[in-house]
Amino acid sequence: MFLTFSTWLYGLALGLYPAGFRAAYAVEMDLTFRARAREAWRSRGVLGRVGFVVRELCGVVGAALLERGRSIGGADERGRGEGNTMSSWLEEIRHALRRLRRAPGFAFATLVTLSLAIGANTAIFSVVDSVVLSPLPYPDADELVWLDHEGPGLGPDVRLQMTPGLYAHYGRRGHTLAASALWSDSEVTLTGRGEPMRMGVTSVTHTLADVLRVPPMLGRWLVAEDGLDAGAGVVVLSFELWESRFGADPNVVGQTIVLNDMPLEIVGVMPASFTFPNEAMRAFRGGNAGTKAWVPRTDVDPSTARLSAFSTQAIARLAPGATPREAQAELNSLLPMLPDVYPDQRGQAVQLIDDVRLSPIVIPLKEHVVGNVRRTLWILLGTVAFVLLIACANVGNLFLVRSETLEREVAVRTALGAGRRHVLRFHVTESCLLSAAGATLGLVLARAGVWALTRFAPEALPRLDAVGLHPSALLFTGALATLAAALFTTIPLVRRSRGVVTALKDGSRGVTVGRARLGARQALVVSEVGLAVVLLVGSGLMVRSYWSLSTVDPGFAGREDVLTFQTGLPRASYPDRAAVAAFYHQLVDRLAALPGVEAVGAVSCLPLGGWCGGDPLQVEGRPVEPGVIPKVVAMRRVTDGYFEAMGIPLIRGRAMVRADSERRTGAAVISQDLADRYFPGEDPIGRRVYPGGMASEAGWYTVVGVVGDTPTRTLADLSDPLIYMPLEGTDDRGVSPYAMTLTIRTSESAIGLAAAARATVWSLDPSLALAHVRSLDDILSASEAPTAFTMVLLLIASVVALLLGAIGTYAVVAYVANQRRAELGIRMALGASGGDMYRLVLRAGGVLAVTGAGIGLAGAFALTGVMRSILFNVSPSDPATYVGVTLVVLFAATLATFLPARRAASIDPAMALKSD
Amino acid sequence: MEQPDARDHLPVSNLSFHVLLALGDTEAAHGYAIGKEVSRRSDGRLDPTTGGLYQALKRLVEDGLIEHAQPAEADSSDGRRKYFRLTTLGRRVAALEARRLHGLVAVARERRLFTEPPS
Repeated sequence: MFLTFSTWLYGLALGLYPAGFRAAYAVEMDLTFRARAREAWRSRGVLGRVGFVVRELCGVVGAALLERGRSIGGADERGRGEGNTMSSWLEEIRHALRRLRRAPGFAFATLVTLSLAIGANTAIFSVVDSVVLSPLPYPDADELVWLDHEGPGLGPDVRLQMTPGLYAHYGRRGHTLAASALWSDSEVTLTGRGEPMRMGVTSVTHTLADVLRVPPMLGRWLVAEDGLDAGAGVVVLSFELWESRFGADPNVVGQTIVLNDMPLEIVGVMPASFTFPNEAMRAFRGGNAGTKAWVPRTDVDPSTARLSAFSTQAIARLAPGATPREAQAELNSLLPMLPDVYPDQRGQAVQLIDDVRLSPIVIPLKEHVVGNVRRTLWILLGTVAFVLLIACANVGNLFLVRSETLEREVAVRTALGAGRRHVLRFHVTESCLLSAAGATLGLVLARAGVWALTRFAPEALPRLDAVGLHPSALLFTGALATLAAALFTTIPLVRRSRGVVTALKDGSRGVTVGRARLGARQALVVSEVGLAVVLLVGSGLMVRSYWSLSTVDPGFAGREDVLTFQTGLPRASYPDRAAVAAFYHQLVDRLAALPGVEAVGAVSCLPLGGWCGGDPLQVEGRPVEPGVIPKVVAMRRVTDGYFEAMGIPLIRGRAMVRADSERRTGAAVISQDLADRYFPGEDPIGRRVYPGGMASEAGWYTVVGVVGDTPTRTLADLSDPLIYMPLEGTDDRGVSPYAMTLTIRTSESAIGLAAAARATVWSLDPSLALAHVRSLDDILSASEAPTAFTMVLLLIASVVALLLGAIGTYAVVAYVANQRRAELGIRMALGASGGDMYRLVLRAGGVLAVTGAGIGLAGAFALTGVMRSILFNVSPSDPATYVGVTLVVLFAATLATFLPARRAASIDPAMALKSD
Repeated sequence: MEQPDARDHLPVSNLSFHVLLALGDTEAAHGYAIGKEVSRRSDGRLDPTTGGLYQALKRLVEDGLIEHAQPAEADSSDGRRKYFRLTTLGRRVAALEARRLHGLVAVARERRLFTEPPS
């Protein structure tokens, strides 16, 4: 890690050479450095390696600057008479270095503060840059759009995505779209290549190639003819699958792969960079295993495509010059034709237009991918920018003190005839040196920070794989350093208005000197405290959010030991529902027989697993009014034992039993939420419901029980009503039971049971694969991760801010106390007690802290509104947070003031008076 | 064009002289090998950084004391590397510098500042 980083840094430093030199020697120098570094790594210890790298870096930077000086100074004789300017700059740098060496405290404090702030800013900026600012990894990515539909008739905020019928309609008649593609994801079992594996497969139209424009690495992409002949399935592999299961065999094209017991011919392999739709678009994929292969989809024939199967997703590339808004308007104008285009599905078409009030949405793909994360990331960047401001205030303070020390040296120089330019150079070198060093160290910290961020960031962060320290981040750091340098140069220059004579005369510091100076410094501290308060309020709100999120009752006993894993059955070996149900019932029985197991069940989709499918629900005896679509509810297949294994409480009636499935009794269990919505004030037990579109006599289910609510998508919203049905219902409509998640409650360690569970599955069918093997606790933690991540980052930032603010307060109060030593001494001599001294100094600090805190609280009140969307159950103006933060800040300020106060109280009046 | 005079290049800096010495008995060598040779010959007392080494090499090339060369065949493992060899001028400069140093050693001996190390 360090070796790679050193090599990277060295390559960066080589960029400092003039172009001519680089062209001639840079490659070779890089090679030489690598060879020497490897040698150093072999022969030296950690310190030796660091020493080697530092020495080499200094060498290359120095040589590069000299080389630049020569090329600026013109083609002089062997560089002996370098440009005058350059050599005097070098001289100045040497002087500045010597001065800084004499003031190690100042140099150290400045460096640490600057590098922390610049490092944090660069790290967060890198993430924002990679995730939000940089384009998606496809050619002309800004032409890519996401196609979606909203249906106000079904409720506000309902997003329906796409159907094959609509897709075919738009594709044929829309002119604003150059190309579009339709896909859906599923999971299959790979067999015949090592251990069976559950993996994601994307069924996609061949047009994806025209939309994304990424060519395959081997073989070809899908073409229109693929998949038309049912007997000759083809597949395109991902780089990852090709590498892991085919040993990166270059002759893989033409070989066969078995997915869900179906042999498919491999026609191509995509490059490693191609991850559609998973990595780049992770945001909207509810934790599915990544897509490892693409198969052709053929359900988009314009004459037969289904119009209301909203289970597919679509993207498109805009025609040259078209905007998303124009495309959306055009697609909207195509909707009224639907009933004539699909005469066979006229009823559905009319319902979509009149009842659902379907309306297409076209948004830039990146907006769709980045989604909510954008706001969180900008908030984080704003936060670290605050930290940078605080750091600058602190360093500015240090420079103020320093400029007083240097004042005499500068005055002497001026008196001896140094011009303005010379004096400017004097200050510029010092602040530039410190800023540059701070930026370099900051870059090292940023690199570590980015590594840590990507390691600990929640899986749900989109485009995580694209995060890294890119050139734009280097530019950003450079800009920050330049700004800092400019700021710190200005401070002493402004202060120089006092003039030479005063400075030279001013041999000692009097009792009253420096009132204006003190004012500037106090202003800096007040703003520091204010900024720290804003950050603390922000992170305080986040902590409260996280706390209320983690105390949400998930409706299931998640913190106990429950093992979950998913498996899926291939249709080829399990042709009907009876076979599927028999398998899962047998599996549940065998798992229940394992030692330590207390309860076992299976479900088609776990809580927090996403929407996972559902249908409109009708209630018997309540005729559906024309023009009204019954509300859609989420649907789950469950075996007996599921509620028990999950710890979901039974509120009324009875739970599912084995006979419900085996005898196809049509029993259903509903969630409390569904009961409240559909049967307010009534007893739902015994009522008949019909999930699905047009009710027929056969398909009715009878409610036999009510269970507690469980969240479907995130912990933050509990609101999806749920209906549970046995594996075999009245007919085969609705959610499929082929892929199920097993839940096993054990008295021992959940994960310790995994091996035995695997063996049990294989004892029934050795060709099955297990996926997502984890405990319920893991699932809960994962769903809290985004909030936790933001909270931790904000906490770190605000603790740093608080520390910097406290240090700043300490510095100023100590300075004031020191300035007033003489005065304090006189007071003591006149009979003031140590307690009086305490009070005096504490008041000085207290005024600053209270003023700063007041301004900060007002600022926080104004600013934290932007956090509303990432908070959970906490108002941005939560009084408890504000009070808590105020207490923390005042406590820190008291601490920071305490030391100088104690020193003041122990002043020996005689000494204090003598020292002046 | 006038024949360049080797005397103009004296005195040669310590590092440059070591580079000339390192190239004295080989056909051609690349920077890494030169750096190792310099370090070895000076018992590690002179260990230039990569930056310093290439700065010296570039100046020597500009002054015409060394030049870019094709690698000797047995050593042509890496096409990206640059190889250097002594020019005639470089050889003369090295000889003159050695003579100059030798002269200085003679003076030092005369003034009893230097005695032969025991062999």
